[in-house]
Amino acid sequence: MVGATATPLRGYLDRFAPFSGSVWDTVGDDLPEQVESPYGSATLRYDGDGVPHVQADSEEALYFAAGYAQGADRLFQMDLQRRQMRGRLSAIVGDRALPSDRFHVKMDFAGAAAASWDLVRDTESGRLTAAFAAGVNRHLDRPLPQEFDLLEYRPEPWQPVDTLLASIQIAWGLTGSFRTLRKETIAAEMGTETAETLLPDRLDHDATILDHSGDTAENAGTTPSTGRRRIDPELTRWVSTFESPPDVGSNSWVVSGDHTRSGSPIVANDPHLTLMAPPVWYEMHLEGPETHTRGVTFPGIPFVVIGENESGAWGLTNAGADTIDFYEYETEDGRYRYGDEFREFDEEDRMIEVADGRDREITVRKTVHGPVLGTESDGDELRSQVAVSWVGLTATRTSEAILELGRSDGIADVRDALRRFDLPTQNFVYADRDGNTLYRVTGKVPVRQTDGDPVPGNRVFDGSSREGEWPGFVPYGESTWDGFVPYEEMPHVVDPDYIGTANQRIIDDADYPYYFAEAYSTPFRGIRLWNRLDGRVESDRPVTREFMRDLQRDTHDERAAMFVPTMIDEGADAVDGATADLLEDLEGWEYRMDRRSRAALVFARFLPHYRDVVFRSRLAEGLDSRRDPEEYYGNDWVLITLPPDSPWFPDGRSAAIAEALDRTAAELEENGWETFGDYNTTAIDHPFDREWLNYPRYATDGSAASLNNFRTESDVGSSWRQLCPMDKSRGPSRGAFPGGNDGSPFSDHYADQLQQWADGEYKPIPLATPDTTAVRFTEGDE
Amino acid sequence: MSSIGAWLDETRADDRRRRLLVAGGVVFGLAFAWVHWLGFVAGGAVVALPQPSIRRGVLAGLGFGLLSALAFGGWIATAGVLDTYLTMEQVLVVSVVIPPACALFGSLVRGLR
Repeated sequence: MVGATATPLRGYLDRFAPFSGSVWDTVGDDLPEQVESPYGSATLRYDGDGVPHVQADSEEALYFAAGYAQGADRLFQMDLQRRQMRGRLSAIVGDRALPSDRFHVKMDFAGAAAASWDLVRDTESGRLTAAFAAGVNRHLDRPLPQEFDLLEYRPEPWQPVDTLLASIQIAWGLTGSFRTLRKETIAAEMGTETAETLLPDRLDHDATILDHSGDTAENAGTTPSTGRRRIDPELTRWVSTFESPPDVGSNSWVVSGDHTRSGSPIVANDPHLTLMAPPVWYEMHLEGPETHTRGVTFPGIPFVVIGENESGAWGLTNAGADTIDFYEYETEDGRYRYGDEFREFDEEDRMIEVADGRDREITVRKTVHGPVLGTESDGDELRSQVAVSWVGLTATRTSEAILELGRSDGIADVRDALRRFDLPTQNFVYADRDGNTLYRVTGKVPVRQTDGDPVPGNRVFDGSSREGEWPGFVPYGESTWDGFVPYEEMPHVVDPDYIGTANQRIIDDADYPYYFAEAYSTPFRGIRLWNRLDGRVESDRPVTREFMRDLQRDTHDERAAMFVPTMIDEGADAVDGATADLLEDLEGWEYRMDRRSRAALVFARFLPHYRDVVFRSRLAEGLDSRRDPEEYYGNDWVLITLPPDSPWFPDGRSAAIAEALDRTAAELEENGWETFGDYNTTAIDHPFDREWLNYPRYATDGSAASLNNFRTESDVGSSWRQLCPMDKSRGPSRGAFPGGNDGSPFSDHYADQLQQWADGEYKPIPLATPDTTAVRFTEGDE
Repeated sequence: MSSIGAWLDETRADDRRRRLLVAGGVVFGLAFAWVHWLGFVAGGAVVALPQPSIRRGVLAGLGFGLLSALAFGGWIATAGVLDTYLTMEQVLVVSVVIPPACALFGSLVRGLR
């Protein structure tokens, strides 16, 4: 067991004693000036923001040094994420992590990563990933980040396959959704109509990414799902903990030179991911013989994921395509029926190590479709189960694509690289120095088939009857992709004049030959984005980099624009006193979620109360008592578009508005909040949730529905902002980072960029390297 | 053994030698503590031994421990992370308690002779 060899007292002394204690060994710890590298010479320099700039004469040496930099700055974060994905958290934190470990072991993400590594091992990206891993491992014999000391364990060497595991983690966080199970549950327990009301597959708007001025009549859903079976409450509660967080999303847009003042395109991107300490992204600048790129990557991944090179710049937002399906089976004597035969489950017993507790053995069970997730009672007896097919469970080549994006020399290279961007499904926007622009959805989307006919994937399939098959898909192996939407037919536009993405519906179903997505995100940001882009382009004022920055910081909340007039109209006669004052606060408001706004505070707090008032009691009554009603609430589009005569308003909509306003008034009074900034503060915490590890709190602007995106209640928001004009005559690209690049709380760069980010300020992010060298890598085999 | 005892007796009777030994003990203890926490125990012992009484020996050990804690705070401040250190909750408390506790333990050696 980890740490068991030392007595508690000795452990305290070894870790916390002044000077010699291991938690202090990163205080003032400078990297060695010279490091031997088996891959050749390189230099590592840090700029004033703690961003590493790596230069090398060979690509292997470049990525070895990049690994060294990431190991220096983020080793614990990398190890923690690796442990989570391998189901090995309990070994360091005890049995509280068992639900997580059970899920991740049963999904066998590690097996999927191994399959991808087998596929790319002998490719260029495989070789560079191996060099990167060697660079990371140079830190195993150096002072370790203090989190290792606090938990009393040492990291194992970083393996190339861990890099692929990191990419699977990101892909799962963006596309792993159990919405299908939730919707079928509502349908089974409260009826299909209720399920369609709360979780509609399509939202009635016309702000699609492609052809956004189309007819809204075409936006109706295709085939509503049909509830057939209740899902065990324990199963849905367990798995929903580990799915893509609600409302993760992003913004991106590209405007071609036809509409810019400079005559060159401008690319903007800000991915909205979980805000955490240290940040989800790692910023870096790499310059080698074939690669010269700057941007952000995920710790553990060698290549720049979102960024810029000497030819162009690119950004990503979540596409929302449906790349996951669920299957149920007829079982008999421990076997499952598949077509005409009964098959044995592919089973393997795994041991989950538990710190300070009994280790647990669990059985990983797979079918032809993928891993089986089942609820286990105290006796580890399965009570309910579904098998999962997810694109990320097969071998993928995304690492090759990401490497090639960094090396690309214009749009032709980029289009070629995207052929190998197998997952996740993303809206990719790009512009190059030659004036080309591009929009394309990346990834592989299965064309489900039942009896040879394509079917939508918005229901749990009868796996025994071979419903919803993915032809050519091999979980934990190499797929042929024959049964997936062809690359040429994935939504795309070459050389768009301008285009914006905000996770809204990509294209109307009537305009696309394939089932593409079960549901898309709410369109609030998409509506605002199109309004502003269209308005600017149609005006006589060209798009400038200042306009792009202003757009990225836009705090307009379309939810408020749609619903505040209703609040005022219907609430005015139903409230009095302090509650009525809130409606006065909303009068004349321009729907901007600015920190100094009183109206923004009122609306921001009204909405969750209104959500509760509308949904909670009826869901609590209709659903199994073991379910958490909040997990089944309709989204904000559903909430604010419910008609006044909806059965969700038993006492009328005005009564619901009045009650929510009453609750809001009481809450504001209780907390002493006066303006939005009193409530809307950063709350970005370290996984250990300790004061010295958590980031400081700063008031900021923006809401879940504004382009300037921030959600204080869920710690999600703009996790990186970049503005990349292709014309550099007026300065380099600019970026903003919510925290610091160094994961050590003793570093000057632990949280040094957070205030700037919270204030909507940017820093230059040029493809230039500072003069001062931190580490010189010399040829040698240490 | 008797010669060490005699030397200690002489030292305890000689203020100048005693102060020199205490100063040396502080330097030795802190240098040792830089690499291992036993330095606090050893430092406490060295500064306690030349004291004329057990009580003064224990007080000298405690004083060394407190001085060590202050020295650590100074080192942390010099490194520019005092603000972080002061928010480190239990880690802060444990790190402050360790030097005097260890030094106090070391000073008990004065009771042997």
